[in-house]
Parts: sequence; structure tokens; C-alpha cells
Amino acid sequence: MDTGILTVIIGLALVGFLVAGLPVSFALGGLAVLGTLYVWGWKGLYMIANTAYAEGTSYLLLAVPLFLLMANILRYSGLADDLYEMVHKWMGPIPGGLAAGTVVICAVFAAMAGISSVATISMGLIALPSMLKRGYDKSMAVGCISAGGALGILIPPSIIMIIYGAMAEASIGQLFIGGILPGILLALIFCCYVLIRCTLNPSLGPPTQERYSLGQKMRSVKAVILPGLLVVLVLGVIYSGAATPTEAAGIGALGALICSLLHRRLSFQNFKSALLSTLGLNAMVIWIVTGAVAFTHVLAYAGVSKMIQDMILGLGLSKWVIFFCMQIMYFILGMFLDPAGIIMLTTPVFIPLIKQLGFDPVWFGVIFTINMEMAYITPPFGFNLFIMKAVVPPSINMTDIYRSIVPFVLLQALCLLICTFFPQIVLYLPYAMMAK
Amino acid sequence: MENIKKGFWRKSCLFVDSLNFWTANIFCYISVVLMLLVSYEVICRYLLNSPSDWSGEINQYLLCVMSMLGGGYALLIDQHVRVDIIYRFFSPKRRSIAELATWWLVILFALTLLWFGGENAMDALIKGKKSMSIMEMPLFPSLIMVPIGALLILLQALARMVRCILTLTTGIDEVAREKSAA
Amino acid sequence: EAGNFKLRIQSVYPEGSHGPVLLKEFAKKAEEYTKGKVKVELFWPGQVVGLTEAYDAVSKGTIEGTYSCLIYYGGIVPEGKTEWLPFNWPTTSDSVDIYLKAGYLDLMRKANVRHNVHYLFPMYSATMGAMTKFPVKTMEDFKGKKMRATGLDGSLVKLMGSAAVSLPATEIYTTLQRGTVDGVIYPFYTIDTYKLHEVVSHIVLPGFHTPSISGVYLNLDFWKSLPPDLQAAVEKAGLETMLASAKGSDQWDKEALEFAKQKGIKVVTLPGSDVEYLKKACAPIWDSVAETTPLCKEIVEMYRKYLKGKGAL
Ligand code: NA
Ligand code: NA
Repeated sequence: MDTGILTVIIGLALVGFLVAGLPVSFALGGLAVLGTLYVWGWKGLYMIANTAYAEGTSYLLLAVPLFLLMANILRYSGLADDLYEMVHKWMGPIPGGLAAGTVVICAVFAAMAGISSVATISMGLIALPSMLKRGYDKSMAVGCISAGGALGILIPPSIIMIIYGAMAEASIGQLFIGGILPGILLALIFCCYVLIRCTLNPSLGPPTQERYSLGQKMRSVKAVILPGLLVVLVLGVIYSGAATPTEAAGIGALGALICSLLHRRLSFQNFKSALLSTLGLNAMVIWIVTGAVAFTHVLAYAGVSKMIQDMILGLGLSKWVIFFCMQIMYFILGMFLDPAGIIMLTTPVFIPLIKQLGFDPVWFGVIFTINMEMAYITPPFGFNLFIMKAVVPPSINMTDIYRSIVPFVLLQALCLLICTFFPQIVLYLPYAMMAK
Repeated sequence: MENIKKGFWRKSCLFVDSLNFWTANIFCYISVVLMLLVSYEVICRYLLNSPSDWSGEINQYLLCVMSMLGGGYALLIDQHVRVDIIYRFFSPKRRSIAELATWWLVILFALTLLWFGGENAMDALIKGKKSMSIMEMPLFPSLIMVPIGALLILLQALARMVRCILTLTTGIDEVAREKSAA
Repeated sequence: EAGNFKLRIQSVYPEGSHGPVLLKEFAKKAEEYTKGKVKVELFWPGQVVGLTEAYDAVSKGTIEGTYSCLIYYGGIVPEGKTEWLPFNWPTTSDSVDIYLKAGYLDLMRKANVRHNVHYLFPMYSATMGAMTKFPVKTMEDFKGKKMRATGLDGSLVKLMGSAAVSLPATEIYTTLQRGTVDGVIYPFYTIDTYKLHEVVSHIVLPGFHTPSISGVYLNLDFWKSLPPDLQAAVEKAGLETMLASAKGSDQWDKEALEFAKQKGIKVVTLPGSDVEYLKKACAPIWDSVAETTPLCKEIVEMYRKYLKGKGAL
């Protein structure tokens, strides 16, 4: 069969299975089996089993369960409550202060956890009721939590960056460090937006009435000590060279566990559910990587990936046109798919292509991650939106949630453009780290 | 007669559920072991300047155990990433039809891993294959995780299909019913 | 159509690097010498099978061949480790002699047949040795340092007083640069191709593997399915590639050392007494490999006989 026809059939089959609701990992893996039988013969099926073993024992992916564990333990650490109390005392009196402070807490949590759900759940449970009670506009309150929570994948550590790094063979350490400045930038953009809008129209985020003495305020600052130590521990060991990202994940998890024990918040029941959640999410990641890698092998064997690359390169478009087409495609995929699934679906074609076009894989990885920030909050499939739906009071419906994210998606797109045209924002720290 | 049969199928599904549930409850502690081993390794290297030979490799095998054996559990608690744009709006009956039409692919994938992964593991056992590191650890214990994990996924996927058939025959949303029971 | 054969080779080395350039030459020659009856298709790292699985995939016929290196599969083919015994041959031409005249290639073929693999030919992959961030004058300087080394090299750096660290190749640059490790045992040309000149300051001679070795391994059933004339033609292309790689390997070493000097990297040679000590201290490593299988023993004895004849042992 002609490679072109085969490509179309595989593509349609994949879309069909995905839309019918089959998990991405098994759609990719199952189609890999069918494709192998067709183009490769039964001997090719050893490849599928070998792939599962290779991904299951991958040194790079070892960071995944460890960062998941760290994140899951942090949920029960009580750190979020203390941080919010501090924000409330210091920033409450400013118009929009609670919302801006919530974004800051999300950024701090992002620097400890590799996924977006920890900050989103914590702030959804703690900050949202508090803001609504004090008359904050529901769009403002819901939007800043969904968008702030998504910072979790851009500010290191980041599971998405680990998966991207493992697939693109880019240094995960450099990707992490490259995400720091764009993450801070995005958090700042969110804060400025919230503060400016609320200053212009204080009914969106009225100042709180409670007043606290300086002593009370100062005492609340101790809330930053433990998170600060954890951030320094994880990023510090990576940046200083004491450990690889995988090892930093292990130390971070241990640190989070110790913090939670110090706070006496971690019951055995909570600990057990953290472990179970880690097991399930980790299995999800490893199986989706397995399915995608097996699928990639079949595409390479059949010559499909090469054909698509040649076709795209043969169009004679400038590399920036291709770049923006990719970003638009990522954005559209992001509406329907989880970022891990997107990396897996696009890797076979996109990764060799960006290398051939001469883009820096670290820079591209960070830009990709900023794009995926949008995926977390764009409907219909936006992970943070579902979390919000689960925690908001009945007075807020799904349409309210969808409406709340519009300005934040635009701000994320702005950040993406800034980091595209000023690549130094991404690459300054990785290069500085290298020059050390 | 009809009821007894349904009882049998339902019980089988619940058995598979609890199999994966207990597997998860036992093996979820591996992440704690991983955390301790990785931290220990960093301390050994950074503070004591004496990295261990075995830690990195053991960690990779532990990852293999928890990833392979956790696949069925992730299926049980519906944690595998899905595109549910249309799927979400389906009625239970329609969803059952869609699943019956597609989940055979999961079965095919799991059977492939069960068969060929099993052959790889047996091959390693018979020939005494060892890892490429200095430690030369036997490969069989980690290789066997692939077919075991595939079996757990296979059973969970079959349970899912049985539930879809039950949903179609009884008209009750069996998937949701038993999920809420668990 | 009938009489035509497809030979798919998965390379575990990236397309741009030195070895694959020669592999492409081999592919061209094999097609030419077989008058197009054997069609060679090359795949680059990770495309159809991963590095660790490549040998197994060839053995089972998932792919027809791989361009890799047997040290990765030492747990499966213990004889592969003999190609990586530290200081096993003094120069490239000695190694060519050992393979082609002293009967090493035949012994290695015998070892691989057991796994349904035909060892087509070895390829030389340049000298591999220590590159460090710390100044080196004698072996003493390695004491208490952390060296990234895999396989038997791990045992060797321990003999030198260093700790052996195994890390994935993708992290070599960053871990060196951040001091997670103080040095690596790696091909000298990576000073250029991996930009290691930015993160190391010293190249230490002599190399542990002068030169290191890789090779092309084929599925035995595929090999047997070829008619004798095609076998001979592929064999001829293989031999020519091996000899070309011997020349190339020496050239890459020369270029690497020149490049290093240009970049201000110090190229130091360990004192003769240290080298003598190390070679002697390696004897237990050699012995332990020799004990693995009778064939390993035969190979190590063959080495020792050859080196004695040369007066190098
Ligand atoms: Na993060
Ligand atoms: Na989305």
C-alpha cells in the first residue's frame, strides 16, 4: 500500500478511536499492534513488548513518580493554608490583593510540585470561598485560580517537561531552569492584570475589611519558611549540580513528607491516598509513553514520519511560519487533549522537524510548555476547569468557569509571544548555568 | 437462570476490580522505597563521596514494577488520559456501544504484551540473561512485570466490556453503578 | 520480488556522528556489490527499537540488523565484554590483526551464533579515555573523584581511586558542568561533537580503549537466507568498511586532540609507571571476564598470546 494512503488510514483510525473515548495510551498502543502486523509482520510484535519494558525502566522517567509523590504529599501538608493566611493579612486591604496573592501562592506551589492540580485544588478549597465571601467577582476569583494553578507545569519541577525531555532527548535540567523566568514573567503578568483591573473597578476585587497589626503580619510570614526551603532544596540541587532532576525529585518528596509531618497534617489515610494517586498517575504516564513510542516505531518503520516531515519541509515555508502553525496546532489540540497526550501524538513528526529547522530544543520545549498552560484552562477539555467545577459552590456554573478563563488565556498567549521574540528570557538561565 | 448468569458476570467483574485494587494497595508503597533510595544515593555521593553501584539500577526496576502493575488500577479508577468531547454527552447505552466497538483494541494490545512480554521473560530466565551494568542483575524479575501488568490491564478491560454488555441488556448503567459502589 | 532482500539496520549512534557516516558507505557498497539485490535501509537512534533492545530485536528477527556495540549486551553475550577489556590492544592496526589474523572475528562469530546473530564486522569508533575537570599529572589525582564510567571502565576507575557513577548519556554535559561528576570516560572526539570542551579541562592519555569498538550484527536467519554470492558481496562491503573505520578512527583521534589543544584543553600523558601499574591491575578484570564462558577464556588467552608476541605484555 502507498505510504500516503496508509498515513491517512492510520490517522483516521486514531481520531476515530480517540473520539469514541478510548484512552490515548491504548489507542496508540493498539494501533501500533495493528500497524506492526500489517507493515512489519508478527516478529515486529516483540518491539511492542520491548518498548513497554524500556519505558518502564527509563532512568529519565524515574523522576515522574517521585515528583508526583511530592505533589500528592504537599496536598496534605497544610502549607497552602498558612500561605493564604499570610496573603490575606498582607494583601487583603489592596483592591484585587487576594487574587494577586493567590497567583503568587500558585507560583510558589508550582515551584514545589510538578503538576497543576495541587495548587488548583488547594486554592480552590481555601482561596475561592474566602474571595467569594468578600465580594470578589466570580470570574476574577475562578479565573485566577485556574490560570495560576496551570503555572505548575511551567515553573519547575514539571512532569510535562520531563516527558518532553525524554521524548526530545533534551536535557531535563536545562528545561527546568529555562522555565523559571518565563514562569515568573507569566505570574507577574497575571498579578499586574488582576491589580490593574481591580484598581480601575474595585467592585471586581474589593479590599478586605479586617485589619491586622504589624506584629500579626510579621508572625504570618513564617509560613514561607518551609515552602522556601523546599523550593531551594529542589531547584537548588538541580542548579548547583548536587543532583540530577530525578534525584532532586526524590529529595523533594522526602522534604515534602518531612514538612507534612512537622505540620502534623498527614494522617495515614491521607498518606495512603497520596501513594495510590501517585501509583495511578505514574502508570498513566508510563503507559501513554509506551503506547506513543510503540506507535512512533511503527510510523518510522513504515516511513510515515519521514514522509510527513519531507512533505512539510518540501512546502518551502519559512521556519517561523512552520513554528506558528505548530503553536496553533498545539493550541487546538490543547482544547481537546491532555498535554501528555499531545506530546505523545506530535512527537514522531514534530521533534525531528524542530531539530532540522534549527530551533533550540530547550527553548522550543519551554514555549511548548507555555502553550500547554493554555491547554489546562481551555474548554472543552481543560483539566483545571474540571477541578474548579468540582470545588466551586453551586451558584457558579460551567459557563461562568469558561467565561472566567478568557482574559487569562490571552495573557498566556502574550507570554508565549514575548518568550518567542525574546528567547533570552528562556535561555538566559540555562546558559548562565552552563557558563558557571 | 438469567439472573444467576448476570450474578456470575457481575461477581467476576467485582473480582477483577478487587484484584487491581489490592495490587495497587500493596505496590503503592514502592514510591516510598524509591524516594528513600534516591535520597540515600544523593547523600552517599554528595556528602560521603561514595556513590553506590546498585541504586540507579534497582530504582529503574522498581519503576518498572510500579508502572506495569499500576496500569490495571489506573484503568479501574479511569485515570488514563482520554478525549471526552463527544463521549461525555453519550447516554449509558450509547457509551456502551462505543466502548464495545473500541475496547477490543485494548484487549489486542494487552494480549500482545502478555504473549511477547511473557516470551521475553521466559527467554531471559532460560538463558540466564543479565543486565549490562557492573551489577549484572538477572533480567527475569523485571521483565516478567510486563506480562503481569498486561494481564491486569487485560482483565480490567474485559470487565469493562462485560459491564457494557450488561448495561445494554439490563438498561442500567453498570459502569457507573459499580464505580459508585467501589 | 523473489531474489531481493531488504536489510533494515537500526543504528544506535546518531546520524551526524562519525560511525554512521561509514555505515552509510557500507549501505551503498552492499547495494552496489549485490547489484541492488540487497536493499539496505538505515534507521537512527530510537526510531524502530531502543538501544538496550536492539540486540534482542536482531536475534528475534524484529529487524534484520543493528549497528551498535556489544558491551551494552554483556549480560546476554558475555563474549562481547572481551572487546571492551581495558588496554586490550595497543593500536588500531594491532586490533585489525587480532580480528583478522589471530582469529578473533571467528571466535566472536561463534559467540553470537548462539543468539541467532551473525557478527558481520567490527567498526572502530575512536579512542576512549578519561576527560576531566580537574588537573591531572599522575594517577594519584584521580583519588576521591567522581567519574562517569560504564561497564568494565567502572571497575578500572575504581582501581584509580575514583568513584564510578553511571548516568544517562544525555546528562553528561550538564552533570560535568555542574560538578555532579568530575570527569568521564568517553570518546575523545566528543570534546568537539558534544561540546565537552566547554566543561572539561584535561584529556588524559593513554586511552582505555585504543580504539573503542562497535559493529554491525545481523539476524542469522536473514544471513542464511542470502545465497552465497550475496553473502560474499555483503561480507566484502563489510570488510572494506571495517578497514575504512580503522583509518577513520585514527584520523578522528588526531583531529580531536588538535581541536582540544586549540580550545586550550591540556592533553596530558600519565607517567609510564602509572600505566604499567594500571595494566597490571587490570589483570583481575580480564580474569573475571575470562571465567564467564569457555569462549571468553579462549579469547582472553588469544589476546595474551598476541600481546606477548608483540612484547606488549
Ligand atoms: Na512545577
Ligand atoms: Na484544554
